[in-house]
Amino acid sequence: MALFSLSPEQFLEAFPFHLAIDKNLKIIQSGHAIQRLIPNLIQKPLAEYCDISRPKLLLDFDTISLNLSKLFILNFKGIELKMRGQFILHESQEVLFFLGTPWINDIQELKKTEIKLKDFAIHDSIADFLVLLQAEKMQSKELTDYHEQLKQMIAERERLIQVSEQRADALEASLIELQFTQEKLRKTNTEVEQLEARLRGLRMSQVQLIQTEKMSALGKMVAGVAHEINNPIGFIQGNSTYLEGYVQQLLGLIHLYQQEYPLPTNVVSEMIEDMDLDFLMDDMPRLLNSIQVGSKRISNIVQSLRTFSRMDEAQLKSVDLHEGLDSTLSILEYRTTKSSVESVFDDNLDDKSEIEIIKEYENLPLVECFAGQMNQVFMNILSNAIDAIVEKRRVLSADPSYRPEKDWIKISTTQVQLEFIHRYNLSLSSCPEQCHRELKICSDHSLQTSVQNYLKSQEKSHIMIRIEDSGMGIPLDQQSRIFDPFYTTKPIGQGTGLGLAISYQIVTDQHGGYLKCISKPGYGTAFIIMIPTHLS
Amino acid sequence: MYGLVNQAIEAMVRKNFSSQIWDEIHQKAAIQDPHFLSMAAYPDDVTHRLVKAASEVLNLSSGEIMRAFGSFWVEYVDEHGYAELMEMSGESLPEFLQNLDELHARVGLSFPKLRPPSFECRTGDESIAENTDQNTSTLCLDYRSEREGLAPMVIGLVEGLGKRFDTSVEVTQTQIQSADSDCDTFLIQYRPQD
Repeated sequence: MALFSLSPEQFLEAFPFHLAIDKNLKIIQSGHAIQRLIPNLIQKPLAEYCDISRPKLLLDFDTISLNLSKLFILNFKGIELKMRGQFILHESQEVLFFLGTPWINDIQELKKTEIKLKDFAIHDSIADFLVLLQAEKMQSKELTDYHEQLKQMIAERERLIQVSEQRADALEASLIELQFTQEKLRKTNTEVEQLEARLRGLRMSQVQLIQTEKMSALGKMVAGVAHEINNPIGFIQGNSTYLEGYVQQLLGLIHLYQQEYPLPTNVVSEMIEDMDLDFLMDDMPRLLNSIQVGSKRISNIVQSLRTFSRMDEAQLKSVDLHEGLDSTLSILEYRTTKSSVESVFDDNLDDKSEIEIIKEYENLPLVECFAGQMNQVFMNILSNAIDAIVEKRRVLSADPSYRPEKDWIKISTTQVQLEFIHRYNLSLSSCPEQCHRELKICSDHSLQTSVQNYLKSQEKSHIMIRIEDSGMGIPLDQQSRIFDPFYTTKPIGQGTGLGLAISYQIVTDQHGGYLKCISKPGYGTAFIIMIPTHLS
Repeated sequence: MYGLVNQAIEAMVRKNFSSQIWDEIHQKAAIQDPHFLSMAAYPDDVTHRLVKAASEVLNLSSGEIMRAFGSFWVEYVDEHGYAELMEMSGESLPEFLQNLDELHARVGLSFPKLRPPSFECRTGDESIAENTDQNTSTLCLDYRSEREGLAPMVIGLVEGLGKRFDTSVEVTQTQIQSADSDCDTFLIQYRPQD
């Protein structure tokens, strides 16, 4: 049982939203907040301002009095306000108190109602509820915003994934295209290389054709010249024999006249003195001899030229290679004799300026070959040997203290059998008699092996020709290129770079042979030619 | 502190400086992911680190940062969902200050991790106020908090409320919380603008 109660003023303060209703449902009292919101509602019917939203009851004093344990929701008209609370019947049984508070679901609704926080009793938790509501609303909005951001980020991520997949596809396509292009490029490069090789081959063929034509033209010219020269030379040689006989007879007659008539007449004596008969008789045989020697020499040269050109012989024939070598040497004799060799030492040529030709010929069988082309090979190699010696002299002559030594070219021929190759050892022997240098090249194992393999595969007898010189040798960085077409170390105009390339082709392609160069800088060079005895 | 406070710091830096400056500050504060949920509770240390970093980056003292934040806070909560609550708390500076403690109490009930400060507003002793005219009134505001170093923020808060209510204010701290006193006290001289 309550012992204490609130004063009316305290009651008004504790319940600022209360209503007091009489049995006629007139509002006889209200809290200050309600009065502020709805002025002049005292003594007005309750029904004029509100109705019962819940429970579903008639707005009737007695009915309400029977439902005091229920939660009432009053709906106020005009100000859009809901109040929630309970009815309490005053002990007098004549007044119903409605003790309640505004029911707000959204803090925005407060603005419409003009309710302030201060309108609520301090003990009323509706304000706290509103704070919580607002906080929850803000948080919900925040989460919605974050959710939206997240959705956008996911969409963006998916878009980026899609873009990156598209790019990956494009990259893969580009890669495939690149590979295809690379393959095309590789094929193109291969085709280019093949074309370049064909071009080189065509150039070589062109050069060889030109060279062949030149040689053919030369051969024809030589043949023509030889033919033209042969006749007069024949006359000279033939008649000189008779002439010699006639001269001997005439000289004998003069001697007889001198014996029989030791005292000539004055006219005869004067004539004898004028013509210097003694000298004439002494000199005439010598003149005749020199004419015979000269004509013989011309005949030999013509023969050498004809041998070299081989125009009067079939393409493939068994020939004596020594003849080809000798004919070539004969043609080059003008470059090796002391009267012709370029000497830079002094104006007076001496024996040391000669290039000695050393021949070491073995007995060789006739070799089936293209004789004219083999002579061309001999010409190229021998010419190069002479050039090497001349160049060496030119370089060394820069040293005033240098004294020349005798230079040489050695040509050796031999027949090579398979078993011979096992003891094969290349060396440049020192020049016989006057050469002090020893030129030695260690055994070339790679040469031995490759030649051995070659010979084994052929199983035929071969001829080996070795041409060595006492030149300066070929620098190491050039040795691998000497057989390359158009490669030359000579000044422009002096060398075409084709001699050895053509020689290599003649020996290896046309004769199935082997052409090797062995050189040691500072010592000399050797070319080794090996061809089979029989081609067919 | 609730995330709303850290959000307000970010908003203040972005508004008055730039997003790049904010990035610099939160990186300096070693906060890699500065996305705060307003109603989530964060350690006080996060807020302290942000204030310290802002002080270094902006070359302002922590007190200046806190004071500026206090003023900004009034504007921020008004614009971010609590305008009605602000309105319900008062229509003038003195009324609002009178309701300030109740407002914080109610917020503390709803958000227990907040541990809000308490305020006591009383009529000021005009005799101790300087250079007052007849239109100037005074109030004394006692501020109690378990957190230290936030007195400048209270000054900024009052200044921010002055702007809200078109009232010029002058705030002077007359007492510092110490072993001898359990609160910071501020003398507030205010005059409504006509």
